Amino acid sequence: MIEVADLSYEYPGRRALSEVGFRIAAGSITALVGPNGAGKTTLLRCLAGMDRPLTGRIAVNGVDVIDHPRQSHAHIGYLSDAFGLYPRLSVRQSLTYVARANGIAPADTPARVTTTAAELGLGERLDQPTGELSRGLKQRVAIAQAIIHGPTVVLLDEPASGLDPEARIALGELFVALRERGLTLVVSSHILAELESYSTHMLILRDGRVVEHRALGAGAGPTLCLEIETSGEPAALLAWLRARPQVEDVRVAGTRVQCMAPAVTDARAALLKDLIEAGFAVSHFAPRAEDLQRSYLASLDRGARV
Amino acid sequence: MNPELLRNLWLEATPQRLVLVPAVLFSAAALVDVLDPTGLAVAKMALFGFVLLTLVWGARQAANSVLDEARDRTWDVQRMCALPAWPMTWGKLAGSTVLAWYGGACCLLVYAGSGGFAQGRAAWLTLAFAGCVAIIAQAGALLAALVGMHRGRGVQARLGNLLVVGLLVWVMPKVTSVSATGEAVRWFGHRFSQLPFAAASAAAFAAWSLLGASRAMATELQILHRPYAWLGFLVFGALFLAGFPATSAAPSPTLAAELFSALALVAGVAAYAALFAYPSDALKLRRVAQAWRRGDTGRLLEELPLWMIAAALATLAALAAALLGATPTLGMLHIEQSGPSLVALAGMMLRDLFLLTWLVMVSRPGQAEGLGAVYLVLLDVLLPALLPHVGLGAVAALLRPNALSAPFTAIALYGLQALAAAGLCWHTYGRIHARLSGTPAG
Repeated sequence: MIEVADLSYEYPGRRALSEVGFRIAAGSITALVGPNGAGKTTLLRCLAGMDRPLTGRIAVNGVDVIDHPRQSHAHIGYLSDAFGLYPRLSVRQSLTYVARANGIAPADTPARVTTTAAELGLGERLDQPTGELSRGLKQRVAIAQAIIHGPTVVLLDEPASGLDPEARIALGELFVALRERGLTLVVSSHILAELESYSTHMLILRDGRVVEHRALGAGAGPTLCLEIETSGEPAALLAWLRARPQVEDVRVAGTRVQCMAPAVTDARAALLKDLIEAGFAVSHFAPRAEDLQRSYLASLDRGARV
Repeated sequence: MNPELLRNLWLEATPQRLVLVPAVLFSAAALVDVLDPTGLAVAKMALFGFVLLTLVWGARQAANSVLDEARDRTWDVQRMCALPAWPMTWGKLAGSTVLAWYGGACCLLVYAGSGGFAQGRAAWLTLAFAGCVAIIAQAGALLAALVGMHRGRGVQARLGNLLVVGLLVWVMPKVTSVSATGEAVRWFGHRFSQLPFAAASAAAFAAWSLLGASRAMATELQILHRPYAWLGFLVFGALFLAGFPATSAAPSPTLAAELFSALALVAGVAAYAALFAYPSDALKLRRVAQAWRRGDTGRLLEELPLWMIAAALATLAALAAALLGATPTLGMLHIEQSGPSLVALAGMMLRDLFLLTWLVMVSRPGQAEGLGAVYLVLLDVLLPALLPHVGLGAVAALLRPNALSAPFTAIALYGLQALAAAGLCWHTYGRIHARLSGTPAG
């Protein structure tokens, strides 16, 4: 679906992306994360064919984005961190313009506008100027503009920026709905908790390089978050776990102790055996649903140590 | 309908504006008519209004059609759509200036009503001329806005204003004295009436300005294109210039020498303009080098900076003019150059271009153009004028040798200066290339 190989991008005097390569499968939602200046926006702009990299290859649905950016736009929807709306145009006019500019036939445009607006909950707002909409609704119009031409890949740069919690939750639900429709989404965001609710994959960038790219979920990464409960005081368990070489980020969470441990089943079995042999009365020992923030920090930490 | 035109019509041609524009213009015409019962002033003012609206207001609207997109951050939406460069260009030009043309049409109604067309063909030709100049201004303003849209509004505003003022100075005398008579123009040995010649020339340059705006739009939309339009424009400019006869008693030049010297001058000036418009940083030069190393001729043509193409053409044309051995004269510019003088000037041009490129590589983005202009004034004007007065005439002669009186010395000195500047560029490029090939910066 999206294939990137040896991608390097330079600003005058500074390299922003260096030999970046990955494949993103169709029907996934990839969380693009990384510290400020890691190259997330640059990568998204390159994927969208808006900035031309120095070297490398980008293909979306087999179309070479670098050589044929305009053709690739038929397959790609892009939402920048600015909404890109014309405040004096109505929702209907905005969507009509983008549909027509993306090659939708004039006869098909009104139906496409109505369908897309309804899909994004904008059916009642079609004749309202976009400048009069709330931030959350503006965001929806911007997403409608990005998908009205039926792309299979949607790239979103900080889509939840400035939205209230309710609008963020609604946005997450919308992304899941788009994914269920078969779209592939790449979402860049600083708000990891929000990405956690809908992402299937995580791609971490640091200093212009891919630190990690993998599926999300318990056991999908090299480490996972284990939750352990014993009948005694957690302090003793805490100290014991911290002394283990392969266990990291040990902390108390209520009556339980959480830690990052190797995802390999044998390693976990060995840990449980050692716990019991050490005299702990284990009442709960299970992987926890993946905590994106902890995985992200652990990845960056591993990347920094390499 | 072109969607870009449609969008602009939605934004510009609101019912209120469509009523207000004629109301204001017809009221103003009625006022002039009351004050001047002869009706002559009305016709003249109507024509004047046509020029002001289509040229000045139209150019401003055309430039704003992209500058406003950048300001409102809607430009990415446009760049993401599938509209090719030409429909995007004409959609913006026609749509953003629709009220200017609508107002212009109102002025023409007043002009017709006050007997302006009584002068027959001359009036029509004047209108055609003014209309084509307005298209040049609008397309030129759009081109300037596209070229400089990442360098702040001030730059494009200054470029656009300069263009508009220049065109106004050119067009106004012709418009305010509509007449079929006037000095005949000699071009390639034929005599043409001034007004038809001006109208035809303006039409040709209007077509080139539209093509130029479309090419700039393609560049902005990341559409790679080969520089054939640029080469065509340079050759057209040279042909246009070469057609004007010599004004002195110099020996009659051959047509080939005249053409090559005109090409050297046009391409030389264009090389400076192109370098200021699209400065080549180390990144751009790396793309060229990569295409060269891969032997990918097509990509090399797409990546070659326009200034390089113009500079190469200017140098080759100057050499050809020198080899032909004639003393070509360019009547229109009142320039008399020997072939070797042109080669010396080509050397100076190469020195300046390499120096400017070096500045682009070592300066912060956006600063090199201003710095470059200062360096050029210092090197080519101030120091050569100052040094002889402080007993350093010899240094001045080394810095700016006289290409007209001692062309061969000038060729040698400018050649050395150009080589030194090229060496400086090469060294700096190598340093940046080595640094960027290492670990990425954060």
